[in-house]
Amino acid sequence: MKRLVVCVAAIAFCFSMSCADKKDDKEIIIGASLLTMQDDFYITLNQGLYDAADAVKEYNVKVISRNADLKLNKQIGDIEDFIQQGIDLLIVSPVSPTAIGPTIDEANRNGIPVVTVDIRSEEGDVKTHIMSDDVDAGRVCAQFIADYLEGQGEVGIITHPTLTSGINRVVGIREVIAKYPGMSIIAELNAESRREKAMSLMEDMIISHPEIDFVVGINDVMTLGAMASIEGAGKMNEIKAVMVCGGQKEAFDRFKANDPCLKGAALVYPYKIGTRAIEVSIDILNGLDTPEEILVPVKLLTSENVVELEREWRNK
Amino acid sequence: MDFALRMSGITQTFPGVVALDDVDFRVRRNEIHALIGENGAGKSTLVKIMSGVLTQDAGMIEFNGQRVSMTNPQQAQCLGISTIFQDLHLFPDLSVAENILMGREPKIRGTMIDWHELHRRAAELLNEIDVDIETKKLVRQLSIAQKQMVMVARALSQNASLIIMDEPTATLTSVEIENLFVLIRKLKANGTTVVFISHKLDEIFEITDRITILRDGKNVGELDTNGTSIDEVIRLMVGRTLEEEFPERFSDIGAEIISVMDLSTHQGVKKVFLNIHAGEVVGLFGLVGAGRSEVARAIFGIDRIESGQINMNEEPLRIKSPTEAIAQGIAFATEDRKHQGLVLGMSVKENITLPNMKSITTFSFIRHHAEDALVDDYIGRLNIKTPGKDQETQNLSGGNQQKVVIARWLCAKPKLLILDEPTQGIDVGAKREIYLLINELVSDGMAILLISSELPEILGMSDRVYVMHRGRVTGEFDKPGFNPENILACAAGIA
Amino acid sequence: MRELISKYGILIVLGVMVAIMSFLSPRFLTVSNFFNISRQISVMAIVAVGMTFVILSAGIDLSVGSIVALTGIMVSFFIQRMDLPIFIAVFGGLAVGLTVGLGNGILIAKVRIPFFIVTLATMVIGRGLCFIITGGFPISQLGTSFQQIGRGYVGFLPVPVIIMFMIYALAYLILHHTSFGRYVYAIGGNEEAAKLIGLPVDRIKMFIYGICGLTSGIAALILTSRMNSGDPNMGTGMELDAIAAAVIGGTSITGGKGWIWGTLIGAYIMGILNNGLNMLDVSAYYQMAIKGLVILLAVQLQRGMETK
Repeated sequence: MKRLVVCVAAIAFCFSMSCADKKDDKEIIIGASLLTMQDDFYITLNQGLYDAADAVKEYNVKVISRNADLKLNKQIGDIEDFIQQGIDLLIVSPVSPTAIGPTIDEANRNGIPVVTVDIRSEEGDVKTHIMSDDVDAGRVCAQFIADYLEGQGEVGIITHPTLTSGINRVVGIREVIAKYPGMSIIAELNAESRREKAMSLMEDMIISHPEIDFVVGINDVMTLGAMASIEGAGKMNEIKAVMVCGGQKEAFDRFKANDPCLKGAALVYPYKIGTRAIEVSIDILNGLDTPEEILVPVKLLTSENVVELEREWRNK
Repeated sequence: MDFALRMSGITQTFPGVVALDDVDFRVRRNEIHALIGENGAGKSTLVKIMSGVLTQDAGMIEFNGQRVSMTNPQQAQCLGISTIFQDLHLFPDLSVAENILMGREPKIRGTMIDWHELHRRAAELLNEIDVDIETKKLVRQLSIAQKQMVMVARALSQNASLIIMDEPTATLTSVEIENLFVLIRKLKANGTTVVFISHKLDEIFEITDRITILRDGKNVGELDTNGTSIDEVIRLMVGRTLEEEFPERFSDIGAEIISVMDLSTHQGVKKVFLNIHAGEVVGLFGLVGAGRSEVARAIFGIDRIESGQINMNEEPLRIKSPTEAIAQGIAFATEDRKHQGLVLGMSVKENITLPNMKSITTFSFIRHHAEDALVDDYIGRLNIKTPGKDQETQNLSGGNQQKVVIARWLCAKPKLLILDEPTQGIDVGAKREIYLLINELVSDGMAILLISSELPEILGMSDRVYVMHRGRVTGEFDKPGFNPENILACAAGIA
Repeated sequence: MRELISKYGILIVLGVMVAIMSFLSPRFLTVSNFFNISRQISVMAIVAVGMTFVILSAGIDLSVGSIVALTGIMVSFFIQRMDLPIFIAVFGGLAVGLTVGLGNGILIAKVRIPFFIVTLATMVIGRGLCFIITGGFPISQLGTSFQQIGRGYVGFLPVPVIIMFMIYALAYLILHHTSFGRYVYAIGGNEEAAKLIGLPVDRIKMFIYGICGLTSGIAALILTSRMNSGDPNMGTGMELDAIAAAVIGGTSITGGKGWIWGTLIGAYIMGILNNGLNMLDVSAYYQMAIKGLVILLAVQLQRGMETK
């Protein structure tokens, strides 16, 4: 009996903690359903959402973000809950670009405008899509490699092909490499955005393709994982790495320390995607016209400009 | 002659045991036919074959003059053979009506269950056998007797022309038994044939028309109930004199090893008393469910003692777990050696030493030579027939499995050895070896508590016998005063 | 004899795979690739040791992946944020793994919550804690001396491989030469009988899950050191790999039967499969399907040989 009372009390406490939100006149609630929260790109993007919401003066903007955990059914459930909660605007990075359509329609029917971030929705009425220029990020990486190797060499790609951003970045990489007849892509491997997976893939690549000159990873985690095995094999001078960098601290630190292996990166600005999303949202709610697509540009990051770019990246 | 069921030449073997050996079994149409025999005579195997649970190794079955072969219970039911097993196969959380018509519910337009019709039809079936149970009640809320009635109604709803009842009276009160007999007579009057299995001879003589007796897997007699006597039936069932089966013993009965006073447990043991001396075999007799194994579990520290006291060597015994019981010199070879005794996937060696690891380890590292020597010794002494000590026990015959269990406990060098149904499901030769072993142990001064539901075994092996009924000790007998009828009466709770 | 055949069965599977891979890729059958594979499987293979104990006792531990992550993060936290000496950080990490494992054991044996539910809950809670502690970001750059655990060599032998073989040898000793090992098999074979014989079943179960937590902790040290980073996502899905290694290696999923070296062979089969398919540049999607098929085939081949 006593145990039961304790359990009920504990559950009630949890609910009271999570249901503390009440709405006043000047309050705007923005619901964000993000693809994942276990990835630094999205964690940073999420931070951008919250910080930008705090910065808005004219309204009391409140962001509620939910982690879809890469599961479509969870994302749909979360959005349905948002609709029940009566949010004013929905920000979503769809798990599936097509299957999210009906849910977006459902939100629109309830008078909730929708903004997508990072991943585009193929269906449904979306006011604005905000993303990094991922194809360009791929181009920047590949161009850097081509310049570094003077158009001669072998490149391995570590990607995560179930992410739209991953696919676009690889498109950019291949587009540039194709221009150089002296260069070839010897492998394109899927490390599922996991550091340990990238590490063992790279170990195998070193053995199966000992002639490899450069590895390019489509995000921080996987590139750093691959570099761990390059370092483990003591091949920092033979094999170089370049990445699309979402701003992980370790990446900045390595550039600052003049890492022998990591030579360059295309720096993307997830934080800016987050802040732009909030700014656009306020415009939409104020009845202003907004562009269909906003591309947040990427910049080439190297040891030379790391101090400056990190400051800019952190200044948001 | 018009037979409802005719089985001929039925043979069924299990690893190490011939359960049925060329058995003929014939049931005339519209009679109540008793099937009796001692435990292990092959009754339950025969019932399983006629109900389709088992398929015979050899032999033929004719039902209503048609040769049939059944490989599962559904086929038997389709033919019109329904079996009411002791553990009633009902769905406790469904209503009486749903249980009766399970799988054949009336439907509205072939999709949705017609609840009104369901309850009407169930009530009609219950009415047919003069049983008054509310059809909306959950089966969980019924008494065992009422559940049996539900099973009968279900059998009738399947148009069963032959109903097999496996020891239906074992757990009923005398009033309930009378009601059941009224029902059985009614079934007969309606043209149904009934096969009735029971241990209780008085019931057999009250209700049945004819009797088939099994012994050691053979049909040893088919009699008209009116043309025979209880004595003749017992003679056929036992088939041998006790002196032949049970070897003579020479042992001196010594000091008291254990005494149990007013022992009660939550598992249904009520104010039980008994004592056992060194060099003595004490039998504990009773019907299934009388609470015999529960007494053993309490002594061995498995079940918690609610009240009462156990003294060992005249000192109060305080044990809370089997580990402590073993340390005090008590060993318990459980009934159901496959589920509660052996680790079947482990070898003979590992099973024997499992509770005795201390004696063959140094700092918990196994001394393999010591272990091998110990095990070889016991395999030799108990004459365990195994291809080797690393053989898995699941490949041994029942008798040798039982010897492994006993060997395990002998290693522990106990003062008191409790044997729960030690000869269940093993053949005659192996039984005799176990009896010889028991004699050898008591002559070395061990005290043995022998739990058994086989009366001849109890009579033949014990120096003294306690009889239990519904958790209580209802009688105590000394060897000179052994009287089967009195013992059975105590076991039935009518003394 | 049957046991012997089933042991050889799994070796034959391994042999066939090595032969096929060597035929398809000239770079496969080399000493350096052998050490490469051994190092790659070392983490999962060490987790599989604890898992084998648990499965032998007729249980399952779903929380190993989360224990790996939690231990890895705590070690990184101790080193990077608290600046503790490596030695203390390592022991602190092992204590985390052991504690979580023993906690599983206590909930299973004493509170009597089913093992599946306990370890499922621990898996989710553990992963949650990882994200709470780190805020989702990995804790990186743990210094060169800590990296020796994952990247170092003794002579020509990689340290993780040495640790792996030592743990397997120790597990073999415990399972086949101590009474505790005997009890693990007995509980898995027939828990009811083990209780009635008077074995301290509850205590043994606690130890079993404790061992599983500890081996997960050891594996976490290697993984963290190799990645030079404690990542809240590390070890995801490792419980399934570890179960697969044990089952491919002949451990019965219903408990009571198994062979610790079989688990190591199972881990090698999985590792060779991964490595070989990578070497042949087989696409990731095909790899998944092929791995599933090989697991089925390996287990079926063993069973077929057993019943002959």
